[in-house]
Amino acid sequence: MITAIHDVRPTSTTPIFAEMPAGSRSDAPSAAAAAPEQVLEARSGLDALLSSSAEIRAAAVLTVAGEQLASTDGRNWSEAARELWKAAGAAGDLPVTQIHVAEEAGEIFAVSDGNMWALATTDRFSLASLTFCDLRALLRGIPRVGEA
Amino acid sequence: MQKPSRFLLDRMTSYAEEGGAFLRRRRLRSRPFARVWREDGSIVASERTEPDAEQLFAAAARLLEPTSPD
Repeated sequence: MITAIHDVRPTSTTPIFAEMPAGSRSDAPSAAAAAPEQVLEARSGLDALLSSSAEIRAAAVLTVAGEQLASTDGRNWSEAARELWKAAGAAGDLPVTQIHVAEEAGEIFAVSDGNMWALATTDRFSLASLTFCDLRALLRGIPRVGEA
Repeated sequence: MQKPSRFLLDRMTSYAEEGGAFLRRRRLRSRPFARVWREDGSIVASERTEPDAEQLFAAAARLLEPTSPD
């Protein structure tokens, strides 16, 4: 008998999404406060993003308060991400919607929809417009609190 | 009628010019830079040498470091 598996996402990719243990560090973000649907959609969106974009090394989704919903590499992005948008917002009064920083070691992209931030680190010379487009699409797929 | 050699020379010159332009663009793009978009659609571009951008580059480096291939 032949058994066909129709799951398009390999189950082997699931463990790369780290569960952020609540209270493991005093300043560590936990996914507990975010709606479970949001965490689920964030993980699923990151999974799809990573499988569709070869240039993306790692990515994460955080709330505007800096609470991490999911990441592809299992590390805590919130502290460095908060620093990034604090530094980006320092020069003006209006909210920051996108950040793109290119260094020799790679590039970092950050997109906000007002509620969430999607961040991605990529290889050098990646296509900025497409990466921003992918990150915005990722955020659109995450339900807002109360809508879920 | 144009000599065939002229056509070839012209073609090769065009390719060389395109190659040179690509390298120039790449050289410009390879310098570290930062761009910040705001809600009103304005974009602020800064280079690493600017004092205001120091913190931004430092934060970006912290995010990039763990995912660096080296």
